[in-house]
Amino acid sequence: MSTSSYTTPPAANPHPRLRPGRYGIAVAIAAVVVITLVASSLLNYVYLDTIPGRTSLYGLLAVALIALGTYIGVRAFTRDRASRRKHLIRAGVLLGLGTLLWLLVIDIFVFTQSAGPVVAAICALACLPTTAFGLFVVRRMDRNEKEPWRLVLVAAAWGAIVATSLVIWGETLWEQTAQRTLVPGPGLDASTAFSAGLLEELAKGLAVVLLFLVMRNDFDDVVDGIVYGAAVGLGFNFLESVAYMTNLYGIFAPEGIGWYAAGLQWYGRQGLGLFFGHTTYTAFIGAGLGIARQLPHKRQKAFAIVSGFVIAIAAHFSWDAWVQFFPIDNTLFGLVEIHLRTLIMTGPFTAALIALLIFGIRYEAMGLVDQFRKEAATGSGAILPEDVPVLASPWRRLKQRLRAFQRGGLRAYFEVARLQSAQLDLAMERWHRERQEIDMPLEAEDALRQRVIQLRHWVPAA
Amino acid sequence: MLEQAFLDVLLLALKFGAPRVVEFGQTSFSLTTRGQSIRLSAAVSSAPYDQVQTLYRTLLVFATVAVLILAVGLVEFVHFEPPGQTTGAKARIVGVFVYDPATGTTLGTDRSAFARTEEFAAVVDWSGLPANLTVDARWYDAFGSMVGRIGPSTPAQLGNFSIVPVKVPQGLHHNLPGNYTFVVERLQGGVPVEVLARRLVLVERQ
Repeated sequence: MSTSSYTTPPAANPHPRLRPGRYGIAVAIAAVVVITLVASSLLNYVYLDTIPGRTSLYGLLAVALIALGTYIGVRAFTRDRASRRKHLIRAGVLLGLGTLLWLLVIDIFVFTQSAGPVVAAICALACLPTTAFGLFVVRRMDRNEKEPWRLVLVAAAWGAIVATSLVIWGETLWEQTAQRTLVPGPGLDASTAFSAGLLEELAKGLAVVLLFLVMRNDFDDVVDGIVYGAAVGLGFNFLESVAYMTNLYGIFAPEGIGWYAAGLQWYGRQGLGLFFGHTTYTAFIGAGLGIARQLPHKRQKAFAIVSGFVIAIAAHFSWDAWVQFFPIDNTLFGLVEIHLRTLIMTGPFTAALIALLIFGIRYEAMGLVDQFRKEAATGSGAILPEDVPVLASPWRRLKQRLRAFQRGGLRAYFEVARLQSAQLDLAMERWHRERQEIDMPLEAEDALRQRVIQLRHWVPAA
Repeated sequence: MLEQAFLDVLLLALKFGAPRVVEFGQTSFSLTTRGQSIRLSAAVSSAPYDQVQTLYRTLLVFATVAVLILAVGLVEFVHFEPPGQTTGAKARIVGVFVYDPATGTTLGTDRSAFARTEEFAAVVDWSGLPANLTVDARWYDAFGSMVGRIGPSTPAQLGNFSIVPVKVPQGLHHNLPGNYTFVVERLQGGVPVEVLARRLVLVERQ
């Protein structure tokens, strides 16, 4: 496609001269996160002097590099083409350095001590395809306007690295205190479950909140919220799976059943529990934020956001606190019981989430169809009346792309895909504007319309 | 409000079966379901119902259930950690020593770390406890599983059972590594309500 013949139009909603107040909130949250990280790591190092304590201290630099790289990378896409490449390279270098440093710290101070770096690497490799599959499915759930891969991956990376870092420190302190003060048994289990539910969901949820505040143009509604939340959960689940697999391998290897123990963990977390556990919990936080995105009143927005967090915390708590009341027999029927346990304990939450998702997809689709028709009625040429039934159906959109592929190969396929994507962006912009949900100027909509018209010149009539 | 929310959840279920676009006039139309059209009056239908409110109310219903779950968790916590259960009694843990299962005796000096191949046991002095208490002593491993216990009974009856060994889990050759917790507890109604003494021990990986 000859896109180089014209200047890339500005992003959906170009920056206003004065940034909205939500950017200030995002900066405040980020500052609190950084201060918490620094304070708790220093405290851990001074008072605990354990492996997590050292990890937390040495890992700070990695967390800072990843945070900075993420910010530069995400913002690069709202800049003009000339400076975008420079910012993306900077972001890539920072993210690469941060990731390497983090893996180094983790490997040396945690995994190596329990099972060695080779086992840690094998466990990580085993979890990669399943997590990638999970991210692929989660992103595909948004049938109308898929979220950019860069943001989905950023969400997963934050879930894996930043959220787990926050959790290690908070949970270590909680556990140490509870172990020294409470009566061992169900009370201590409940306390630990409260700790996991509260701290882990808050840590994961912060990433979704920051996306909601900073990347508003790519955070349209409940569907987007569920996608981002689930991506954060999948990232968290990835690193937790690697940690548990490696740890259990280290524990049971002297008994000759190390790989069996690690394999069971892999199946429980990356197979059976891929969509049931952390993915479901954090997706509820995203759902709350996504619904808040479209609510008119501040009070309702606050209730929706808090509700998302409360549901996530309760779902997580119920699993951790009550899983012991669902014993697994040491027989062949135990295999059935493992599946039943997940289905009964987490299934209802996942089903509730799917209900929100299905309704959200249909609601979004209807809103977009409404806007397709209204845009077609203006006669601007961006969306033609005959485009409406095609754009309204993901299957028809796919058929149109495949027809283009038959006519003109991959190039034609992608040209049509870009056009469809731009038309969907325009309809989404119109939808938010009609609902008075955006704080950006009208020029953004005109720019999108012009982009569609320009793209149409390169695409033969379908 | 709550009733409205439950109606909306019901409505949400109906929507999955029959979503459709309902047109009003020639240019403007509202997006409702067949079920929703029944519920809305004619006067209301001229001002389209915002379906985000349905999502919002559904979320509130889920949140209400979530609050109930957390409340049950809190009740469970209070039941097993009842406040005000302090008798002032303190048990004395003499120490944790290497244990010889053949003779049933302990060896060496008090330690706080053991290799996983070593068997070990705690020694409790029951003599300082009031005679009317019901007590026991337990070992928990790093996974929270009970791996050794004596009691429950009165301190006098437990006087001859001062050694509480850790048992290797069935099917394994050695103790699992991690932090072990030894507690002497006071029981009430069969439920431990107070820790009279506590000792943490590390079983090393290597």
